[in-house]
Amino acid sequence: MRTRYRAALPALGLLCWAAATPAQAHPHVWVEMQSDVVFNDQGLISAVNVSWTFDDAYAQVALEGLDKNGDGVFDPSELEPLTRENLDSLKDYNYFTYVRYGGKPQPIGTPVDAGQVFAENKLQLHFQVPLVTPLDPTKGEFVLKTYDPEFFIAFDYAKEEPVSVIGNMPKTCGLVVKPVPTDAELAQTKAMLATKGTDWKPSEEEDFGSLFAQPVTISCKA
Amino acid sequence: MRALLGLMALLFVSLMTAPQVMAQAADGAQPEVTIKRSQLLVPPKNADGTVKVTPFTEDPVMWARDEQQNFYGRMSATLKAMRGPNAFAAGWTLMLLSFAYGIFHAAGPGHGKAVISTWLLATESELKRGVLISFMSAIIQALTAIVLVSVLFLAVASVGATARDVAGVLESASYALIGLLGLYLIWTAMRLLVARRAVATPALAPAGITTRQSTGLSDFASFAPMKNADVAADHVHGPDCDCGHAHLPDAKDLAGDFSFAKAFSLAFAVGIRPCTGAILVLVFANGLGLYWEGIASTFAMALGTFITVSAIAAIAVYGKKLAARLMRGQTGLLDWAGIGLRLAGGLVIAFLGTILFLGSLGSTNAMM
Repeated sequence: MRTRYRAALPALGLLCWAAATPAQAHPHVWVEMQSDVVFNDQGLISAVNVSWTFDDAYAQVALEGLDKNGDGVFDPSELEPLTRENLDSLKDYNYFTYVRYGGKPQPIGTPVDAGQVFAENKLQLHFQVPLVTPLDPTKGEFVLKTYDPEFFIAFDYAKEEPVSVIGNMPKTCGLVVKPVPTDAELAQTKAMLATKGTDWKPSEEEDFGSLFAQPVTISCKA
Repeated sequence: MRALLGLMALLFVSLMTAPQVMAQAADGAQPEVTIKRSQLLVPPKNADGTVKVTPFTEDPVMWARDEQQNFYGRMSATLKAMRGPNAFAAGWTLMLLSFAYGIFHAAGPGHGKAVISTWLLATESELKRGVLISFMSAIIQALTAIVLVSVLFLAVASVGATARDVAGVLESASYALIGLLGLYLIWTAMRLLVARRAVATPALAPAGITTRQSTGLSDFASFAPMKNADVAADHVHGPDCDCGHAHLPDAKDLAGDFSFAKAFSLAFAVGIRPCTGAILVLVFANGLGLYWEGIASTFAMALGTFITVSAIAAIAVYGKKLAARLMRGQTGLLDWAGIGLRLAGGLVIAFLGTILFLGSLGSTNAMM
């Protein structure tokens, strides 16, 4: 008889375990992204355009109940509330967009031109992140990284046209997208981390996530 | 069940927004859609960096998860602060947080609430026994975690690994052990299932809720508080017993004269699974060289879970007694009320169980 209530214990045990591990160490949303570095007429970097294409599982959950008129098509107007609320909550995550200039983190403004499209069974979110201060790429190094420090969302650049330049880039400058880290490079990072104490932290205001993010830079000849 | 939950949430949301929608429709405007939290890419945050807690009524699964995430965040922040100059204050804060975490966390799955409450109802036991067993199981649970972590810590340290590796190995080992424990329990459940098939008993314990069409007054004799002697005399449990209430395996063993050994065996069975909340606190504290603070916090957490589990046991016992007293003398009504009470109770427990189960599954957006 005493074994009977144990039937409930496997479930309870697993529940206790699962409930006690809120720290998510693996992604739950996958994003394939394309970015543009936007130059203004004066040849300064003024904004970054992002376009995120979501995995099918997230798209399915996100689109639930949004086809208001039931015509099987998600019109931009039907997707508008989702876009608005997503952008609103992304505010507290810096829109996952990290810009550095001469090594210093740069403040970003409120995104503009946000919208979502559902086409060819893919949900895509796009918006422009303006820089508070336009940056001169000839006077300092511009680095753009897009990543989620908590790795809840996995950001990867698209294979085709991952990053483009829009606008008036100075002739002496060029876009450099560092390729995805190789296994050897990852091993190097790991070895580097292994030499550090438990107190070690990446340099000012950076985090571990940035060590593994793919950087986009604008490099200019002097 | 997920669909049912969604339906209930949707129903509620639509109820809440109905006047608004109607007002808008009257204006001829496009009806506004409600974006649920699960549809968002990231959880909205408060100004202080904590996650905005989803209202329970909107999505109970998200609510449970958000609450726990914020608790967890505060606990790990305190652990980090303990290395600073205010280590003493941080030690107290960790204990307080662990206590609160225990209270909150014990409302979730596990901790033997169901086992203890059902046992109390099934055996007509007095509340003080339930409280005693709750206390014993909470303490055993704390001790299990402490012994497990300490033994692993000593074992790994003795092979001369570096301090940082110890923390990593220890955490992995804890999870592996818990995983093994889970596998063991699944194995016992399987064995049980096979045995049940062989015996082909008509129904599971909670069947008393639904399978009985009519219930005689005699069945509800069990509503009146009983002396242990009565229980032993007229309350015979057997495979084909028709007494219309849940049969717990240990009910028979534990009914009758109360013995410390019987109570201990139940408390031990409940408490032997170390709760990972306690393990995490211990492992973290160990990693920071704060072994004793970790142990103190584990006991604080046990105190918290004890309070919650006792409260739930008290609700179970007093709820039943109150119902019986209110209904005394009105037999027809009593029959129906009894059935209704059990049905409602069963639904509430099933509902809560499902919420907490789904909440514990981990992912927020995808894979639900």
